[in-house]
Amino acid sequence: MTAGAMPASPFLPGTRIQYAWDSTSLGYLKTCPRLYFYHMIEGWSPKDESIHLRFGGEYHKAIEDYDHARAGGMSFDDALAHTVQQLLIRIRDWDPDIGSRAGHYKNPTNLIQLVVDYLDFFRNDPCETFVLENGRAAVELSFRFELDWGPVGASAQPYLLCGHLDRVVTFADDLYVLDHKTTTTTPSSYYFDGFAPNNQMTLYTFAGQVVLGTPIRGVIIEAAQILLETPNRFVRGFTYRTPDQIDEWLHDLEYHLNAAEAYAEAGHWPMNDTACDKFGGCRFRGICSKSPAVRERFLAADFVQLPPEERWNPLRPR
Amino acid sequence: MKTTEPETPTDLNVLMSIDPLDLTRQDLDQIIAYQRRQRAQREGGVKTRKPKETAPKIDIKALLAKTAKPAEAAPAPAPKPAGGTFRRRF
Repeated sequence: MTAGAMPASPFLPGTRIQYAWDSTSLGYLKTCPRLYFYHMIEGWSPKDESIHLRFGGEYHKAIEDYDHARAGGMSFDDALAHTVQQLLIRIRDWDPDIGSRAGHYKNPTNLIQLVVDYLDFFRNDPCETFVLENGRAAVELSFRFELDWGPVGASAQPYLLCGHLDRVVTFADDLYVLDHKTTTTTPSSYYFDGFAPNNQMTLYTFAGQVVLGTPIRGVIIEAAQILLETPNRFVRGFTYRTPDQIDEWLHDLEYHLNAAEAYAEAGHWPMNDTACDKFGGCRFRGICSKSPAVRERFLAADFVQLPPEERWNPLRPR
Repeated sequence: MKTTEPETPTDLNVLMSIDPLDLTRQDLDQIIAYQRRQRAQREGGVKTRKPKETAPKIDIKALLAKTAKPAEAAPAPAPKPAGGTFRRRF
Protein backbone atom coordinates (compact mmCIF):
# COMPACT_ATOMS: atom_id res chain seq x y z
CA MET A 1 0.00 0.00 0.00
CA THR A 2 1.85 3.06 -1.12
CA ALA A 3 0.81 6.44 0.10
CA GLY A 4 0.57 8.13 -3.28
CA ALA A 5 -0.48 11.73 -3.62
CA MET A 6 -2.02 13.27 -0.56
CA PRO A 7 -5.79 13.25 -0.86
CA ALA A 8 -7.92 16.28 -0.11
CA SER A 9 -8.94 16.80 3.48
CA PRO A 10 -12.32 15.33 4.39
CA PHE A 11 -12.94 18.39 6.54
CA LEU A 12 -14.29 21.75 5.44
CA PRO A 13 -11.34 24.16 5.18
CA GLY A 14 -10.40 25.73 8.47
CA THR A 15 -12.92 23.67 10.44
CA ARG A 16 -13.30 20.28 12.05
CA ILE A 17 -16.54 19.70 10.21
CA GLN A 18 -16.19 16.51 8.20
CA TYR A 19 -18.01 16.48 4.88
CA ALA A 20 -16.61 13.27 3.32
CA TRP A 21 -17.62 10.19 5.24
CA ASP A 22 -16.99 6.49 4.95
CA SER A 23 -18.22 3.58 7.03
CA THR A 24 -15.18 3.68 9.30
CA SER A 25 -15.42 7.33 10.32
CA LEU A 26 -19.19 7.17 10.54
CA GLY A 27 -18.89 4.06 12.67
CA TYR A 28 -16.57 5.89 15.08
CA LEU A 29 -19.04 8.75 15.33
CA LYS A 30 -21.99 6.49 15.95
CA THR A 31 -20.12 4.35 18.46
CA CYS A 32 -18.77 7.22 20.52
CA PRO A 33 -18.11 10.87 19.60
CA ARG A 34 -15.00 10.84 21.80
CA LEU A 35 -13.65 7.83 19.89
CA TYR A 36 -14.32 9.79 16.71
CA PHE A 37 -12.52 12.79 18.15
CA TYR A 38 -9.41 10.88 19.14
CA HIS A 39 -9.17 8.98 15.89
CA MET A 40 -10.50 11.28 13.18
CA ILE A 41 -9.91 14.76 14.58
CA GLU A 42 -6.71 14.23 16.53
CA GLY A 43 -5.25 11.35 14.54
CA TRP A 44 -4.31 9.13 17.49
CA SER A 45 -3.69 5.55 16.51
CA PRO A 46 -2.73 2.47 18.55
CA LYS A 47 0.88 1.51 18.00
CA ASP A 48 -0.02 -1.85 16.50
CA GLU A 49 -2.77 -0.46 14.27
CA SER A 50 -0.45 -0.44 11.27
CA ILE A 51 -0.07 -4.22 11.48
CA HIS A 52 -3.82 -4.77 11.23
CA LEU A 53 -4.15 -2.26 8.40
CA ARG A 54 -1.24 -3.68 6.43
CA PHE A 55 -2.35 -7.28 6.84
CA GLY A 56 -5.93 -6.51 5.88
CA GLY A 57 -4.89 -4.32 3.00
CA GLU A 58 -2.53 -6.90 1.55
CA TYR A 59 -5.09 -9.67 1.94
CA HIS A 60 -7.66 -7.58 0.08
CA LYS A 61 -5.17 -6.65 -2.61
CA ALA A 62 -4.14 -10.26 -3.16
CA ILE A 63 -7.73 -11.36 -3.66
CA GLU A 64 -8.29 -8.41 -5.97
CA ASP A 65 -5.23 -9.40 -8.04
CA TYR A 66 -6.54 -12.93 -8.28
CA ASP A 67 -10.07 -11.86 -9.26
CA HIS A 68 -8.76 -9.59 -11.99
CA ALA A 69 -6.42 -12.30 -13.27
CA ARG A 70 -9.24 -14.82 -13.45
CA ALA A 71 -11.60 -12.32 -15.05
CA GLY A 72 -8.85 -11.68 -17.60
CA GLY A 73 -8.83 -15.33 -18.60
CA MET A 74 -5.92 -16.76 -16.59
CA SER A 75 -6.14 -20.35 -15.39
CA PHE A 76 -6.46 -20.98 -11.67
CA ASP A 77 -2.84 -22.08 -11.31
CA ASP A 78 -1.48 -19.13 -13.28
CA ALA A 79 -3.64 -16.66 -11.37
CA LEU A 80 -2.56 -18.14 -8.05
CA ALA A 81 1.14 -17.96 -8.96
CA HIS A 82 0.69 -14.40 -10.22
CA THR A 83 -1.11 -13.40 -7.02
CA VAL A 84 1.53 -14.92 -4.77
CA GLN A 85 4.34 -13.22 -6.67
CA GLN A 86 2.64 -9.82 -6.54
CA LEU A 87 2.05 -10.31 -2.84
CA LEU A 88 5.68 -11.21 -2.21
CA ILE A 89 6.79 -8.14 -4.13
CA ARG A 90 4.58 -5.86 -2.04
CA ILE A 91 5.49 -7.32 1.35
CA ARG A 92 9.21 -7.83 0.87
CA ASP A 93 9.86 -4.81 3.10
CA TRP A 94 7.28 -5.71 5.74
CA ASP A 95 8.72 -7.02 8.97
CA PRO A 96 6.18 -6.58 11.77
CA ASP A 97 7.09 -7.41 15.34
CA ILE A 98 5.90 -11.00 15.62
CA GLY A 99 6.37 -10.76 19.36
CA SER A 100 3.38 -8.41 19.56
CA ARG A 101 -0.12 -9.84 19.80
CA ALA A 102 -1.04 -8.33 16.45
CA GLY A 103 2.15 -9.50 14.76
CA HIS A 104 1.82 -12.98 16.21
CA TYR A 105 -1.21 -13.55 14.00
CA LYS A 106 -0.72 -10.97 11.31
CA ASN A 107 2.67 -11.35 9.70
CA PRO A 108 4.03 -12.15 6.22
CA THR A 109 4.25 -15.90 6.79
CA ASN A 110 0.65 -16.20 7.93
CA LEU A 111 -0.49 -13.82 5.20
CA ILE A 112 0.94 -15.97 2.41
CA GLN A 113 -0.58 -19.07 4.00
CA LEU A 114 -3.95 -17.33 4.34
CA VAL A 115 -4.00 -16.19 0.71
CA VAL A 116 -3.10 -19.61 -0.65
CA ASP A 117 -5.64 -21.26 1.65
CA TYR A 118 -8.31 -18.77 0.63
CA LEU A 119 -7.80 -19.16 -3.09
CA ASP A 120 -7.73 -22.95 -2.83
CA PHE A 121 -10.86 -22.94 -0.68
CA PHE A 122 -12.83 -20.77 -3.11
CA ARG A 123 -11.38 -22.27 -6.26
CA ASN A 124 -14.88 -23.26 -7.40
CA ASP A 125 -16.67 -20.28 -6.01
CA PRO A 126 -20.47 -20.41 -6.26
CA CYS A 127 -20.46 -16.61 -6.22
CA GLU A 128 -19.82 -15.19 -9.66
CA THR A 129 -18.12 -11.82 -10.00
CA PHE A 130 -20.41 -9.28 -11.61
CA VAL A 131 -19.04 -7.79 -14.82
CA LEU A 132 -19.50 -4.05 -15.30
CA GLU A 133 -20.73 -2.47 -18.53
CA ASN A 134 -17.12 -1.52 -19.34
CA GLY A 135 -16.18 -5.19 -19.24
CA ARG A 136 -14.20 -4.97 -16.00
CA ALA A 137 -14.82 -7.28 -13.10
CA ALA A 138 -16.68 -5.60 -10.23
CA VAL A 139 -13.79 -5.94 -7.83
CA GLU A 140 -12.47 -3.20 -5.54
CA LEU A 141 -15.11 -0.75 -6.67
CA SER A 142 -14.48 2.64 -5.16
CA PHE A 143 -17.51 4.81 -4.67
CA ARG A 144 -17.95 8.47 -3.90
CA PHE A 145 -21.26 10.20 -4.26
CA GLU A 146 -22.99 13.31 -2.99
CA LEU A 147 -25.96 13.40 -0.69
CA ASP A 148 -28.60 16.00 -1.36
CA TRP A 149 -27.78 17.89 1.80
CA GLY A 150 -24.61 19.19 3.39
CA PRO A 151 -23.34 20.80 6.55
CA VAL A 152 -25.61 23.58 7.70
CA GLY A 153 -22.64 25.92 7.79
CA ALA A 154 -21.53 25.24 4.20
CA SER A 155 -24.40 25.23 1.77
CA ALA A 156 -22.09 24.87 -1.25
CA GLN A 157 -20.58 21.59 -0.06
CA PRO A 158 -22.83 18.55 0.06
CA TYR A 159 -21.90 15.59 2.19
CA LEU A 160 -20.05 12.81 0.38
CA LEU A 161 -20.30 9.11 1.08
CA CYS A 162 -17.16 7.24 0.13
CA GLY A 163 -15.72 3.77 0.35
CA HIS A 164 -14.66 0.65 -1.44
CA LEU A 165 -16.69 -2.45 -2.25
CA ASP A 166 -14.50 -5.54 -2.24
CA ARG A 167 -16.51 -7.35 -4.86
CA VAL A 168 -20.00 -7.47 -6.31
CA VAL A 169 -21.25 -10.97 -7.04
CA THR A 170 -24.21 -12.84 -8.38
CA PHE A 171 -25.44 -15.62 -6.14
CA ALA A 172 -28.67 -17.52 -6.73
CA ASP A 173 -29.79 -14.88 -9.25
CA ASP A 174 -29.39 -11.99 -6.81
CA LEU A 175 -26.70 -9.35 -6.59
CA TYR A 176 -24.69 -8.94 -3.40
CA VAL A 177 -21.75 -6.95 -2.24
CA LEU A 178 -19.11 -9.34 -0.94
CA ASP A 179 -16.97 -8.05 1.91
CA HIS A 180 -13.78 -9.73 3.11
CA LYS A 181 -13.10 -9.79 6.84
CA THR A 182 -10.18 -11.25 8.72
CA THR A 183 -10.67 -12.26 12.30
CA THR A 184 -8.93 -14.20 15.01
CA THR A 185 -12.25 -15.10 16.63
CA THR A 186 -14.61 -17.85 15.56
CA PRO A 187 -17.03 -16.68 12.85
CA SER A 188 -20.10 -18.21 14.46
CA SER A 189 -23.76 -17.25 14.02
CA TYR A 190 -23.16 -14.77 16.86
CA TYR A 191 -20.43 -13.17 14.75
CA PHE A 192 -22.67 -12.84 11.71
CA ASP A 193 -25.66 -11.64 13.76
CA GLY A 194 -23.55 -8.59 14.53
CA PHE A 195 -23.99 -7.37 10.96
CA ALA A 196 -27.73 -6.71 11.21
CA PRO A 197 -28.26 -3.92 11.76
CA ASN A 198 -24.81 -2.68 10.88
CA ASN A 199 -23.66 0.70 9.63
CA GLN A 200 -21.07 -0.60 7.16
CA MET A 201 -23.27 -3.25 5.61
CA THR A 202 -26.21 -0.91 5.10
CA LEU A 203 -23.94 1.70 3.54
CA TYR A 204 -22.40 -0.90 1.24
CA THR A 205 -25.79 -2.19 0.13
CA PHE A 206 -26.88 1.37 -0.59
CA ALA A 207 -23.59 2.23 -2.32
CA GLY A 208 -23.77 -0.90 -4.46
CA GLN A 209 -27.18 0.14 -5.69
CA VAL A 210 -25.95 3.65 -6.47
CA VAL A 211 -22.81 2.47 -8.26
CA LEU A 212 -24.48 -0.26 -10.29
CA GLY A 213 -27.88 1.37 -10.66
CA THR A 214 -29.60 -1.88 -9.83
CA PRO A 215 -31.00 -3.47 -6.66
CA ILE A 216 -28.56 -5.19 -4.33
CA ARG A 217 -29.97 -7.75 -1.95
CA GLY A 218 -27.42 -7.24 0.79
CA VAL A 219 -23.88 -8.17 1.72
CA ILE A 220 -22.13 -11.51 1.88
CA ILE A 221 -19.65 -11.30 4.72
CA GLU A 222 -16.73 -13.55 4.05
CA ALA A 223 -14.85 -14.18 7.27
CA ALA A 224 -11.34 -15.58 7.22
CA GLN A 225 -10.34 -16.86 10.63
CA ILE A 226 -6.59 -16.78 11.09
CA LEU A 227 -5.45 -19.85 12.98
CA LEU A 228 -1.99 -20.91 13.97
CA GLU A 229 -2.21 -24.61 14.73
CA THR A 230 -5.18 -25.69 12.65
CA PRO A 231 -6.05 -24.74 9.06
CA ASN A 232 -7.38 -21.25 8.47
CA ARG A 233 -11.18 -21.20 8.28
CA PHE A 234 -13.39 -19.43 5.77
CA VAL A 235 -17.07 -18.88 6.44
CA ARG A 236 -19.64 -16.82 4.58
CA GLY A 237 -22.69 -15.20 6.11
CA PHE A 238 -25.48 -13.17 4.56
CA THR A 239 -27.04 -9.95 5.69
CA TYR A 240 -29.98 -8.47 3.80
CA ARG A 241 -31.32 -4.94 3.51
CA THR A 242 -34.75 -3.87 2.29
CA PRO A 243 -35.30 -0.50 0.58
CA ASP A 244 -37.14 0.69 3.68
CA GLN A 245 -34.20 -0.19 5.87
CA ILE A 246 -31.90 1.78 3.63
CA ASP A 247 -34.26 4.76 3.69
CA GLU A 248 -34.34 4.59 7.46
CA TRP A 249 -30.54 4.47 7.60
CA LEU A 250 -30.31 7.53 5.37
CA HIS A 251 -32.86 9.38 7.45
CA ASP A 252 -30.91 8.60 10.61
CA LEU A 253 -27.72 9.64 8.86
CA GLU A 254 -29.02 13.17 8.59
CA TYR A 255 -29.29 13.32 12.36
CA HIS A 256 -25.88 11.77 12.93
CA LEU A 257 -24.14 14.16 10.55
CA ASN A 258 -26.02 17.08 11.99
CA ALA A 259 -24.76 16.05 15.41
CA ALA A 260 -21.20 15.72 14.07
CA GLU A 261 -21.37 19.26 12.77
CA ALA A 262 -22.70 20.49 16.07
CA TYR A 263 -19.92 18.71 17.99
CA ALA A 264 -17.35 20.34 15.72
CA GLU A 265 -18.85 23.77 16.16
CA ALA A 266 -19.03 23.31 19.91
CA GLY A 267 -15.49 21.92 20.01
CA HIS A 268 -16.66 19.06 22.17
CA TRP A 269 -17.16 15.40 21.40
CA PRO A 270 -18.98 13.76 24.32
CA MET A 271 -18.04 10.34 25.61
CA ASN A 272 -20.50 7.49 25.16
CA ASP A 273 -19.57 5.53 28.25
CA THR A 274 -21.89 2.67 27.38
CA ALA A 275 -19.82 1.71 24.34
CA CYS A 276 -16.44 1.27 26.04
CA ASP A 277 -16.76 -2.51 26.33
CA LYS A 278 -18.09 -3.14 22.85
CA PHE A 279 -16.15 -5.06 20.23
CA GLY A 280 -13.72 -6.47 22.73
CA GLY A 281 -13.15 -3.12 24.40
CA CYS A 282 -12.53 0.29 22.88
CA ARG A 283 -8.94 1.02 21.97
CA PHE A 284 -9.19 4.29 23.93
CA ARG A 285 -10.74 2.75 27.03
CA GLY A 286 -7.45 3.01 28.89
CA ILE A 287 -7.37 6.73 28.10
CA CYS A 288 -10.96 7.64 28.90
CA SER A 289 -10.72 5.73 32.17
CA LYS A 290 -8.05 8.18 33.36
CA SER A 291 -8.71 11.54 34.89
CA PRO A 292 -9.03 14.20 32.15
CA ALA A 293 -5.96 16.02 33.40
CA VAL A 294 -3.60 13.12 32.69
CA ARG A 295 -5.11 11.72 29.49
CA GLU A 296 -2.72 13.53 27.18
CA ARG A 297 0.24 11.94 28.93
CA PHE A 298 -1.21 8.47 28.50
CA LEU A 299 -2.15 9.15 24.90
CA ALA A 300 1.40 10.17 24.10
CA ALA A 301 2.76 7.06 25.80
CA ASP A 302 0.43 4.46 24.34
CA PHE A 303 -0.55 5.88 20.97
CA VAL A 304 1.00 7.48 17.94
CA GLN A 305 -0.37 10.77 16.68
CA LEU A 306 -0.22 10.43 12.95
CA PRO A 307 0.61 13.40 10.73
CA PRO A 308 -2.41 14.61 8.75
CA GLU A 309 -1.33 12.88 5.56
CA GLU A 310 -1.26 9.48 7.29
CA ARG A 311 -4.53 9.75 9.13
CA TRP A 312 -7.64 7.88 8.14
CA ASN A 313 -9.13 9.75 5.21
CA PRO A 314 -12.29 8.63 3.39
CA LEU A 315 -11.04 10.47 0.29
CA ARG A 316 -7.86 8.42 0.01
CA PRO A 317 -7.99 6.17 -3.05
CA ARG A 318 -6.85 2.57 -2.71
CA MET B 1 18.55 -25.34 -9.14
CA LYS B 2 15.37 -25.91 -7.16
CA THR B 3 13.55 -28.83 -8.61
CA THR B 4 11.84 -30.27 -5.56
CA GLU B 5 9.15 -29.08 -3.24
CA PRO B 6 10.61 -27.34 -0.20
CA GLU B 7 10.63 -29.76 2.71
CA THR B 8 11.69 -27.54 5.55
CA PRO B 9 11.42 -23.94 6.64
CA THR B 10 15.05 -23.56 5.63
CA ASP B 11 14.17 -24.44 2.05
CA LEU B 12 11.39 -21.92 2.15
CA ASN B 13 13.79 -19.37 3.58
CA VAL B 14 15.98 -19.86 0.55
CA LEU B 15 13.04 -19.25 -1.76
CA MET B 16 11.89 -16.28 0.27
CA SER B 17 15.34 -14.75 0.19
CA ILE B 18 15.15 -14.48 -3.58
CA ASP B 19 14.05 -11.08 -4.86
CA PRO B 20 10.36 -11.69 -5.63
CA LEU B 21 10.86 -10.09 -9.02
CA ASP B 22 13.34 -12.85 -9.86
CA LEU B 23 11.17 -15.75 -8.75
CA THR B 24 10.49 -18.20 -11.53
CA ARG B 25 7.20 -19.93 -12.03
CA GLN B 26 8.82 -23.03 -10.60
CA ASP B 27 9.85 -21.12 -7.48
CA LEU B 28 6.32 -19.83 -7.04
CA ASP B 29 4.85 -23.28 -7.49
CA GLN B 30 7.20 -24.56 -4.80
CA ILE B 31 6.15 -21.84 -2.39
CA ILE B 32 2.49 -22.64 -3.03
CA ALA B 33 3.15 -26.34 -2.63
CA TYR B 34 4.85 -25.63 0.69
CA GLN B 35 1.82 -23.70 1.93
CA ARG B 36 -0.45 -26.55 0.89
CA ARG B 37 1.74 -29.03 2.70
CA GLN B 38 1.58 -26.86 5.81
CA ARG B 39 -2.20 -26.82 5.56
CA ALA B 40 -2.35 -30.58 5.13
CA GLN B 41 -0.15 -31.04 8.19
CA ARG B 42 -2.40 -28.77 10.21
CA GLU B 43 -5.40 -30.75 9.05
CA GLY B 44 -3.59 -33.86 10.24
CA GLY B 45 -2.99 -32.32 13.62
CA VAL B 46 0.71 -31.73 13.14
CA LYS B 47 1.99 -28.58 14.79
CA THR B 48 3.43 -26.40 12.06
CA ARG B 49 4.53 -23.40 14.07
CA LYS B 50 8.23 -22.85 14.08
CA PRO B 51 10.16 -21.24 16.91
CA LYS B 52 10.20 -17.53 16.30
CA GLU B 53 13.91 -17.39 15.62
CA THR B 54 13.64 -19.89 12.76
CA ALA B 55 10.35 -18.75 11.29
CA PRO B 56 10.62 -17.93 7.60
CA LYS B 57 11.13 -14.27 7.08
CA ILE B 58 10.67 -11.97 4.19
CA ASP B 59 13.70 -9.97 3.15
CA ILE B 60 13.91 -7.12 5.61
CA LYS B 61 17.08 -5.51 4.33
CA ALA B 62 15.16 -2.94 2.39
CA LEU B 63 13.01 -2.18 5.38
CA LEU B 64 15.95 -1.12 7.48
CA ALA B 65 16.85 1.47 4.89
CA LYS B 66 13.31 2.62 4.32
CA THR B 67 11.80 2.79 7.78
CA ALA B 68 10.82 6.32 8.56
CA LYS B 69 10.25 7.50 12.08
CA PRO B 70 6.77 8.76 12.72
CA ALA B 71 6.49 12.46 13.20
CA GLU B 72 6.90 13.50 16.79
CA ALA B 73 3.57 13.61 18.48
CA ALA B 74 2.29 17.08 19.09
CA PRO B 75 0.55 17.66 22.37
CA ALA B 76 -3.09 16.89 21.94
CA PRO B 77 -5.53 19.32 23.40
CA ALA B 78 -8.22 17.47 25.23
CA PRO B 79 -11.69 18.26 24.00
CA LYS B 80 -12.66 21.30 25.96
CA PRO B 81 -16.12 22.38 26.90
CA ALA B 82 -17.05 25.00 24.37
CA GLY B 83 -17.74 28.56 25.21
CA GLY B 84 -21.06 28.32 23.45
CA THR B 85 -23.80 25.86 23.97
CA PHE B 86 -24.49 22.70 22.03
CA ARG B 87 -27.24 23.74 19.73
CA ARG B 88 -30.01 21.41 18.93
CA ARG B 89 -30.36 21.62 15.19
CA PHE B 90 -32.89 19.00 14.20
